[in-house]
Amino acid sequence: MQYEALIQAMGMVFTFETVMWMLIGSALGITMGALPGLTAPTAVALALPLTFQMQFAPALGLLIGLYKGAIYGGSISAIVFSIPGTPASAATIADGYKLTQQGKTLKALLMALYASITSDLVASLAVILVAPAIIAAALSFGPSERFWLTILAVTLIGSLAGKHMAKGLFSAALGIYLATIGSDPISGAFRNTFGLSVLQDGLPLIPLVVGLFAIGPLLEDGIALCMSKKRVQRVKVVFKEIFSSDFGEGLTIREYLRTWKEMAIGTIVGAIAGALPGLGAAVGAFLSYSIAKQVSPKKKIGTGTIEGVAASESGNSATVGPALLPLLAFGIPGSATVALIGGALMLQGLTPSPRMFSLYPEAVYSIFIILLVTNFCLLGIGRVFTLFFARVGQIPKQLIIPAIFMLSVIGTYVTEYNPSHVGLMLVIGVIAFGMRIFNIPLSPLLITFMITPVMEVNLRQALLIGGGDFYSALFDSPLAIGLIIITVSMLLGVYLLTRRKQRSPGLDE
Amino acid sequence: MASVISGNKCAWIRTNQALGVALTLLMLAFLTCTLLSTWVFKLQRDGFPLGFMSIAAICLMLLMSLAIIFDRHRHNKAREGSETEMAVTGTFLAYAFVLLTMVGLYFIAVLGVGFLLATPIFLFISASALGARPWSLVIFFAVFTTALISLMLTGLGTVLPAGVLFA
Repeated sequence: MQYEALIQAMGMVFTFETVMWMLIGSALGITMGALPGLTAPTAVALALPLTFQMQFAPALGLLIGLYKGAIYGGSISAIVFSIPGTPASAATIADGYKLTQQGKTLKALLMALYASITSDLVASLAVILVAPAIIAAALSFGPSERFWLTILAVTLIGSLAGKHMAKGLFSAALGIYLATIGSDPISGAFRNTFGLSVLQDGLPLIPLVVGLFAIGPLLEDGIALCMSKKRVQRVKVVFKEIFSSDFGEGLTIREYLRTWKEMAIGTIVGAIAGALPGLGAAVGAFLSYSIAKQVSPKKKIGTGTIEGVAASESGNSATVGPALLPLLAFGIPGSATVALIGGALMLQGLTPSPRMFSLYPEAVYSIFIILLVTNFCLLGIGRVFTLFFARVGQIPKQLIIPAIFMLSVIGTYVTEYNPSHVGLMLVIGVIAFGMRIFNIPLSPLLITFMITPVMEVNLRQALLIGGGDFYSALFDSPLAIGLIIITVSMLLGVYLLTRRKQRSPGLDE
Repeated sequence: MASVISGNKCAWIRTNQALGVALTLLMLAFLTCTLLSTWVFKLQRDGFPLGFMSIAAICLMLLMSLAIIFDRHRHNKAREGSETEMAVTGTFLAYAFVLLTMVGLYFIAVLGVGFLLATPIFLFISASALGARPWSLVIFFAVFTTALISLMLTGLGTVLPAGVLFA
């Protein structure tokens, strides 16, 4: 433990500015999570341009607050409207909406909030305790091991995204291609620039993420609205309802403590799902829910119980802290949102890698402290404004879509005041739109885009060390062989599992 | 050519197999163009070909496109599982074009007349076109959102395009 760095980190985090941005991030995240159709990656993608102007700690406070807020916020829409605000909150509908139908909306919302924060806090503490050991182990990985680790991550992420493995891997391959646009990482020679000077420095991150996660989805939602017969909607009625309050009884401490088993299951399952690249919050939520249902059949999870809400919400929130572990330890983001946070670190001049802990320990400790403190911000904001957020979810898409389009354009432009970035954003938005309409997942594209430079540099370093001989460079180390075996086994395992799932539909993201 | 999806017939053109064929042809064309580029086989200082990663990525995309043609999902609708599942018709694509054009025109307007003038007009037109009513509240939303975002970004030290209003 580097005490000086820890004290420096505390000095960076416990400032008015950082705490203010954590609160703003949490509030915005809950709002965006509560709005159906807006996911955690969209929220973080839209905020990413803003962090360019900010210092390190406030920027991370905003983004991690957004991330956690959006994960919790998805449950609000699930409980109140039976519409998952985010894919991860779909598991909460089963019990959450039934509780609403029983007139116990507030109870369900508070259970979701307290379960989310409890599991997130425990999982974040586990990450803080485990991370130094994992980072130390990561330093013993050489270039060939790191190369195979990136191959494993790409394989997992591509094969686990969505139902159709080939489409997920197609998206991952597209991400690798897009990452090669610009200049060679070692020699600096230009490649895939198509004669455009704007591409000589590579595909800029902000137009990419905004185009992928804001423009693409919004186009589809906008078209759905345009083609809808019931398009015209009176906004006045919706605004009146936002300030009314009639949500039923609250949650007692005894009821909260009664769900300890379900929260424990959610925390453990969610932490493991979060730490493994490609699984994510939705898998954490559904797995926890299924396991809790089987472990406690007498509690009748699925009929409208707080235990069901506790299990799913713990499962999805516990993924947040552990999802940062592969990024901090190996520089490999395990999910789209973490890839965006990795992008934010790069915008701040820090490259996520095992070396980050030794070169910038205060930055890593700041991330750990922010992971913990954000939970309290979320608790405060969630507790006070839960009812308000529930109503905000009713703001019609006719207003949300134009606002997000506007934010996307302005946010992209003001990062570097380069008009061609907005053009790039729109082009990428069209590609993302095309991918969405044919159900090709977007997350693998972004994650492999971030991983590819690490993959290529390590491949070439390994070849240099091996004197140009592929075998001795890539297959000579027992750890590398082990990683290859794990990659092939995972690929086969996922393929066989999805074949079984086709016969018995169950988990789905 | 028709295909069966869970008991429902679907035109072949709407299946994953058709999507796979289209992607395969696209990737073959892309691979050919890339292989014919002058820079692809240039060796770098470390002996690594400049186009190695690009070619590897395109080959992987080609492989996956072929997999889409032949795997067990090949007869399923290409859009099965997507959030809206609307059919991709001429009207669908026309609306996409219109929305994109509106966003592009908005950006040109921001550069020309400034953020404070272009944004409320864009928000009003697009919200109304998407169906929000009554007009008075839409105007309020347009002005309020512009003011809020302007304050937020200015507070962060961001300089918004001024255009003709404050030139």
